[in-house]
Amino acid sequence: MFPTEMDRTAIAYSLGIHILFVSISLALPIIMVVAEYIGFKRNNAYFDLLSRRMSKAMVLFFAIGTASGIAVAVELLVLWPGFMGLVASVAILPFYVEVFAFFMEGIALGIYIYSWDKIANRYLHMFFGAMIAFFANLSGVLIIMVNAWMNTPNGFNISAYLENGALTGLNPLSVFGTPSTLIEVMHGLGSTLFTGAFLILTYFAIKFLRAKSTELKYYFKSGLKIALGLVSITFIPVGLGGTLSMGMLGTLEPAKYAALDMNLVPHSNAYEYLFGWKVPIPGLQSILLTGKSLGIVPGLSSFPKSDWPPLFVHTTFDLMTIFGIILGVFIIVSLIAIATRYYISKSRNLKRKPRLSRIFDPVTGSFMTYATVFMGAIAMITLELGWITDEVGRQPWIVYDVVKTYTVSNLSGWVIPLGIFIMVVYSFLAVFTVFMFKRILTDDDILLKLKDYQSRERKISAGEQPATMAEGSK
Amino acid sequence: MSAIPFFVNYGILAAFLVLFLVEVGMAFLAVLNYEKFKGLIMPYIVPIWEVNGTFAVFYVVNLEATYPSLVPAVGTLFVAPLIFSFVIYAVHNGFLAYSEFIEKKEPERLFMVIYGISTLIVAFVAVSMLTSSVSAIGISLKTLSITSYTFFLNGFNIMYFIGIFFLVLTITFILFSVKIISKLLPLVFLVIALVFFFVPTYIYTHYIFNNFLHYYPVFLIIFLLYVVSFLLYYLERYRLVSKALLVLASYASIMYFGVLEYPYFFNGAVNASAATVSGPISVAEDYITVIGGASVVIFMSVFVYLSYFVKEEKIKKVNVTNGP
Repeated sequence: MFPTEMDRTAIAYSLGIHILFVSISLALPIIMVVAEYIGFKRNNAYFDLLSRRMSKAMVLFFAIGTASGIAVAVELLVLWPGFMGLVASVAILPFYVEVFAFFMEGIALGIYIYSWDKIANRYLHMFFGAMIAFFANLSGVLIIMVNAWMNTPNGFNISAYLENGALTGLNPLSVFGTPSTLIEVMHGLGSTLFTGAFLILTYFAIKFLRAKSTELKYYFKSGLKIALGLVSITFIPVGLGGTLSMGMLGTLEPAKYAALDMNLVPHSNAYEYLFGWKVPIPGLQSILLTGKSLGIVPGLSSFPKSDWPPLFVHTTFDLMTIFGIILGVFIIVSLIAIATRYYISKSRNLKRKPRLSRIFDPVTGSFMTYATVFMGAIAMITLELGWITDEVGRQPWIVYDVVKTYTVSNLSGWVIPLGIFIMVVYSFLAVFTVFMFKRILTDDDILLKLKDYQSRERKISAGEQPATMAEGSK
Repeated sequence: MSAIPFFVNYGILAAFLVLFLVEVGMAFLAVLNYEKFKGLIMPYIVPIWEVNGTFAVFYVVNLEATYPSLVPAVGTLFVAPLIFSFVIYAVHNGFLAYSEFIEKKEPERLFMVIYGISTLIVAFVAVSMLTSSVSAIGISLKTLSITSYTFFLNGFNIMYFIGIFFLVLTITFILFSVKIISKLLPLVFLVIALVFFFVPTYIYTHYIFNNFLHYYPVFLIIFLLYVVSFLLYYLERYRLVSKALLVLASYASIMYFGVLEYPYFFNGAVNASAATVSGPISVAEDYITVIGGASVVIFMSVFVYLSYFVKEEKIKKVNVTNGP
């Protein structure tokens, strides 16, 4: 293996794991704050405990996410020094703002964790929780902005740079608004949040299925409901952003578009193969891209073969689309089932409750709860496939049409052993974190904490001063 | 004008280093005897680690933003130590987080020892990188490569590492009120640390030593800060002021080293002024630094206020009967 390939493999491996941690870190604070809000408004111990335990998990994910984020930042610097030199000169500002967002997220998390029983006004406490979510997601937006710049570079005189390597006509603010930024943020942040929420949903689904007591079932169902809500909301920008992305690629990254749709030559009245390969619809691809059935779609033959991305991105793209559609169908069916059950529960005159809606309800129907677990794995794979499609689809360019990847990688012999070292340590951390997560958030612990709430309630009723929750939740 | 970005970058480095030195001290105590020092270090370890990691990223990004033309060279040159130290840093973060929540005593102790050892390894590699950026020993700027043996095991690095180790002990003993052998120990540690800083500076980096002879009154002021901090510590009055002065003195001494080093890196081989960014990107960075920095300070003040000055409220009634 050559250093350039190891550069690619190491960063791909690190990022592949990092985005999974990040996806959970983005969704978790939202679920945590919503649980706290419901717990407070309904005076419900289960949601309150859920929120406290989610905050514990948040610290763990923040720690691991931070560490892997720092490692990725350093990997970018040392594995792609030439690329980071260009980024530092032209597109560093999102990274720079992101550092502050990262700071604020960390401090807000510290405030949230250590002030559960110090801030009398619970809304203020929730505000700091919301700040964790806001700054975490802002970090995501800013990182995607740099990725959008890599796909559609601007902010400097590109022709002068290509001619003699000189960086002129610098406009550092334009990196915040490249032609692809809005759509990429919509699709990228949406799918990261969606996957994170889905993974949390899966966790609750597994726990719900395994729970023996009514208390535990109710506790996990509470989490399931919130996570499903977030999954349903975030699916909208994922779908919309994905659809808009293809139109944008056709115009701004035609080689990537051609590879994703496997168009070997540009042509009009282009077929769209639904579900990847089986159902051809004449002219649909042309209509989707140009608005006309006779519109011309880009083809790979318009580009030198050396500028083609690896063609397996066609497969990753198809799989991503198919899995995305399956996830969408799952969510729609779930929502219809929930709505139906809600309607039925309100209609007292119905004697027999329809069985189907019970089965398809992901919150109480065991079939759909099992399906949720399966779908969680699909969501995770889809996120990875989407990321591979985006990054590999841009190859051989690291900055589209400006800088080729191999020209800016680190060719030092150190890269190969260090790359292996990175992958081994990352694998260990990923596995060990899952193991620790399992050990920390045990079911026995939940029952114990619920007893704490009961004893506190009894003490309050008897007019005694109970211990604080902070003591109880250690 | 090019001095400002240099010192802003150095200021971030100094803040990171002070926090990191405190963390290294805590890690050292954890490795030494976790059970004994647990009560002293645990209340501070998580907040410091949290901010510290962010300062590390802040420093890396600010370095890239301030010296974009040096980025390819720095990245290529330090590939091995940077990757190694940051991957170990990931391990350090992980095990600290695990130990924070693990309920059983044995794994907690083991995790803290792993955390402590990984922190010390990161410290050694990080110090080696910083000292080589000062002395240029063990690195070739022409081929952008390092000679591992010389890079780590040269007189300048080893002596600086020993000096830093004693500085860490000074800070740790006072900040965490560690009382072993004699109360005078921190002062002895500081004097040893200074010897280990002066000797290699004189031998290997003449221009820095010459600058020191030029700016020595500043050194005397910083030394005075340390002395006042020690006096307050020994008198057992104003302990908080004593600790604050110690942190301030440590920050000032790192900044002072920046003044001595300015405007060069790598023992005079690279002129920082010539590599400093200018133009619109520099202006934008300044605005972001001011606005972002102010926001961080506000949030941080709330955190410190809540953590150390507010007591826990009476718990509100939470009803379990609203459950299943």
